[in-house]
Order: sequence, then structure tokens, then C-alpha cells
Amino acid sequence: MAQTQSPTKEGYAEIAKLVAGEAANEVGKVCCIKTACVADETQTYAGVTKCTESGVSMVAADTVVTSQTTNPNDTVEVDHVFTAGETVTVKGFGVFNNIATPDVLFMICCFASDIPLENTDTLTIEGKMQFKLGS
Amino acid sequence: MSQAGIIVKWGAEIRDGHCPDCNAFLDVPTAEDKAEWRETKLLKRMCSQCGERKLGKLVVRLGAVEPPGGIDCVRFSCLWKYLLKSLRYVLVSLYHKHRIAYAMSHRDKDIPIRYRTGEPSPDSIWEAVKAILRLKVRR
Repeated sequence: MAQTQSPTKEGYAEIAKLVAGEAANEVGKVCCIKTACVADETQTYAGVTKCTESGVSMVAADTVVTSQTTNPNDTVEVDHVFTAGETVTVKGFGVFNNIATPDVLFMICCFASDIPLENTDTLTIEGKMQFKLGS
Repeated sequence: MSQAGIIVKWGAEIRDGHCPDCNAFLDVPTAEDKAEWRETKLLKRMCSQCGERKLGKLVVRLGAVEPPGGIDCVRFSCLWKYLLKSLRYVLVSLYHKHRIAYAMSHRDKDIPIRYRTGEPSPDSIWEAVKAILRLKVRR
């Protein structure tokens, strides 16, 4: 019902590997989600239905930077502009790791309502992951 | 043991791809358009017919509704407050769900700007109920 969002267990593992200096990839790609969108931490790269339509498919995010929400550089901010190349209905978007064929979903956001995009419509997104004490 | 965590927040905006003046298709945003968007939060694109950069019409703006925090005591008053906060969260979320569907289905029509921007958002249970009922009448 509500617009929902969640980091994922897959993302926790990737972040832990990065902190430990093990082989892992940073945040870097975004993709719109179609058919069904459920925002909880059990979601995986393989489990979500990614859009393949022109303009809303998997692509490198326009910007990935750290920013301040509470403390300096405590937030990873991902910004992107999708420009629909055809009519498509999207239900949310995901943030993925930065390799040619991503395999880790860091976070998922599901819209409150289906979003039917028409050709050349723009969908601008801003996703933020803040690391902090408490919830 | 600490309780560190990751908090996810997001926002999104949908804009029409037609020039507001001549109705021609706007060009795909360039790197410069996107760079300006990051600064100003306004995505202007070139209209090849007018020869100017234009802002597509706002269709709808989306955003997350902050869920209530956890319960920190088990007294009746705390539980009651939590129940009210949860009810407020459900109703405000429901309002935004209907608002987005309404704005999307009336994308080419003139509707009050509050249904496109989501602002001001209802703040209390009563305001949310009134806003939902007003929207139901419109639909």
C-alpha cells in the first residue's frame, strides 16, 4: 500500500566485503522494476523483475556520491534520470553493484502506485542509504 | 551491543516529455542537462522545434512516508500513541497512493497542483481522512 523501501541482505554482505577488503563491487547501477515489487531485505538481484524496455533498463547511475544526512559522508546518494523510450509501466527501482552484469541488489524502492510512463517521459530518482546508530 | 543500521530514503519525479509551448517531443537529456538537474532539481531539455531548453510538465512527484518509530514502553498510553501513529501512517500512505494514481490518470488535465506535488501532505489522521474523501469525490 505505502511506498516502501529497503536495503537487502545481499547488499549487507557486499558492504561487509568492501569494508573487509574482500572482492566486491561498489554501488553503481540502477534499473526500474516491473511486474511485481516487494521492498524487503530478502529481495535479491535474481529475484526482482527488471525492466528491459528502452530507457528504463539496467544502466550506470548518473551520480553516486557520499553526502551528509546527520554526520559528514554518512550517506550514499544515488541519482539518475530515466527517459522512457517507449510506453512502459514501472513499479519501483533498484540500486545494483557496478559491474558489467550486476549480481547484487543493494536497495529496492517500490512506488505506492503503478507508474505508466509514456515515450520521452522522464523519471528522476534520488536514493539515499544512510549509515547510523539506531533505526 | 550497538544498534547500527542502514536507513533507505528516496524520492522520484515524473515529468512529461513534451514541450509545454509547441508540444513537440523534448530531446533526451544531455550530460549538461543532468548536471544542472543535480544542482537545481529542475530537468530542462532542449526542444528542437523552439530551439530552447524547456521544463517538461510535472506529472507527479513521489516520496516515501516516514513509518512510526518503535515502541519504547509498554504502558497503555505508549501503546495508544503507537496505535495512533500507525493509523496516521496508513492513512497518509493511502492518500499518497490515491493521489499518485489520480495524477497519473489525469496527466494531461488541469488538476490542483497539490495532487502532483504531494504538498502539503496531510499531517493528522483527520486531515488524511478528509484528503482521501476529497480525492474519492474527484475520481
